[in-house]
Amino acid sequence: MKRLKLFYILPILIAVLVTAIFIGNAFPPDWYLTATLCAVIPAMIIALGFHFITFQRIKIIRNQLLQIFETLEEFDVDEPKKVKFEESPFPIFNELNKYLAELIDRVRKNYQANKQFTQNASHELQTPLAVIKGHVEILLQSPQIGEKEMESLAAVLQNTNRLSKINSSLILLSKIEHQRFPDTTKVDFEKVVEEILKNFKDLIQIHGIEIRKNYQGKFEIEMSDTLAEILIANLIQNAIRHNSEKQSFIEVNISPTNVSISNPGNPPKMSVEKLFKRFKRDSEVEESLGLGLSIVKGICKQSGLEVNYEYRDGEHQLTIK
Amino acid sequence: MKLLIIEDEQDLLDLMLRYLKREGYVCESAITFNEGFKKINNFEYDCAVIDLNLPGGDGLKLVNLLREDNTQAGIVIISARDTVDDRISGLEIGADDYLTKPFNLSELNARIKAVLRRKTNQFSKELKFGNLLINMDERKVTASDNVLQLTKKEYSILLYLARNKNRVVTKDSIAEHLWGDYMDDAVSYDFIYAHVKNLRKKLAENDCGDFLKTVYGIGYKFQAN
Repeated sequence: MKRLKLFYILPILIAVLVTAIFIGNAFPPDWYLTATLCAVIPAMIIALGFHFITFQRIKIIRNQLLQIFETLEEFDVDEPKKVKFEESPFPIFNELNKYLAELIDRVRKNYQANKQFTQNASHELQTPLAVIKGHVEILLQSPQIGEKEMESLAAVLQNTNRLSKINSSLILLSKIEHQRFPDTTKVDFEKVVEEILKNFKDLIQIHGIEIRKNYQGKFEIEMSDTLAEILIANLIQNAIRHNSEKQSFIEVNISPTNVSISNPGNPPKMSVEKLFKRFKRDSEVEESLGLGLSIVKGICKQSGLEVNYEYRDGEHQLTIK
Repeated sequence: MKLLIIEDEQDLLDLMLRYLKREGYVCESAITFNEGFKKINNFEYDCAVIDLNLPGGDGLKLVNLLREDNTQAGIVIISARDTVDDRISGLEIGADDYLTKPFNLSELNARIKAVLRRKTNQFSKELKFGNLLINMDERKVTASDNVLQLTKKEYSILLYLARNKNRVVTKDSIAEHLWGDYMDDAVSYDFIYAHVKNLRKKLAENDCGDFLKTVYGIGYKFQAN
């Protein structure tokens, strides 16, 4: 600030000085010329000074704003890193920074509380769900239970199972988001795909699905091998579930740049972005939870991968790269 | 057979006791670390079911203690911790099996039976129902003296149901038994249905037709008298 005040005072001083010199020495006592010069020269100098000062100030202000933008850009609600604003020579910016810092703090706290709540809720639901399931299991063994009661029990059981599946998927999602799978190794996707296909062999056979493999090189990524398995298992399961009835197949392409899994099926009824959102599902398959693709996306995000969905020529295709 | 169940969640403990007592085990229970510690020190058990998160201490210490004390006892850990590392450390310390919560009671029952069979000589290596014989050491099933050609999955389903004989076993518990957690219902139910159908056919061809009952909408039951 002090430096800036100097900018104001300096041109005025110079102007007065120059004027005094003019009046005193350089010109004859021609009063109106002197008077004009006295008025114009300082005015010009002052105008130039102001222009210069304003230009400087705008530049400084612009830099300050850019700095704030940069700081805000670094802000990630999920990261505990503290957002630090640089001290500014303008009190107004310091004020703004203070408000922003407070706001960020509040947003972060709310977000954390929210997240904590979801997580706690899912964990707290585990035991009651297990207790309900256990009681149903015991009730099922009772010889006094009639057919009507059995139907009700079947409904209770079915819905409890659904709840419990949703819950464990949510817990898995929160674990992925909280990076609870820190151990990474070099994962060879060909091996993972083969393993999962072996696991689902019977299912694939029962559904009469043909497997087409097209391996052109290795796709290797440094990531958690557990997550890689969950990722591929989810994609293969989707491909089994949403496969077309006649002429069903799953095509797996692996190249050094990407892995893609495609299968024929009906076109999706919603936009591509929505497919990856939680609880959005696009199927008549009742048991579908609508969490599979959220898990896929979560895993990809944590492992530095990119996932894309495409529907072309009657085929669903998911690509990871 | 004497079992010790250490679990701090009273509701779950009661359920396990009810289910297992019906199998004819003598069951004792503990709900804290200290109580479990005392019982392990003072009595002998054939098998212990131990929760890892206990008030007063880590269940792993109890596993350790029991293993040093009585090498013959079977130990099944039940825990909400489900990472591979937890599993490995539990088994390394001497547990025979590790079951992640929440689990089905029929699964716990089957696991305890498997552990007891491996650990003690009192459990026969064979299960016999009429003219159906399941040899668990050789994983061989004989019906009316004919060896049945069963797939791995068919064998697993049959053994799982037989271990929970005369009880209704739910479809989802069978699915979990065969696949673990990551399988989803829609696909796996079809699969179980198809395999039970094949199993029934193979059993019926050898005069063992009426063991597997369908409980509509719920699951299956191995009927044996």
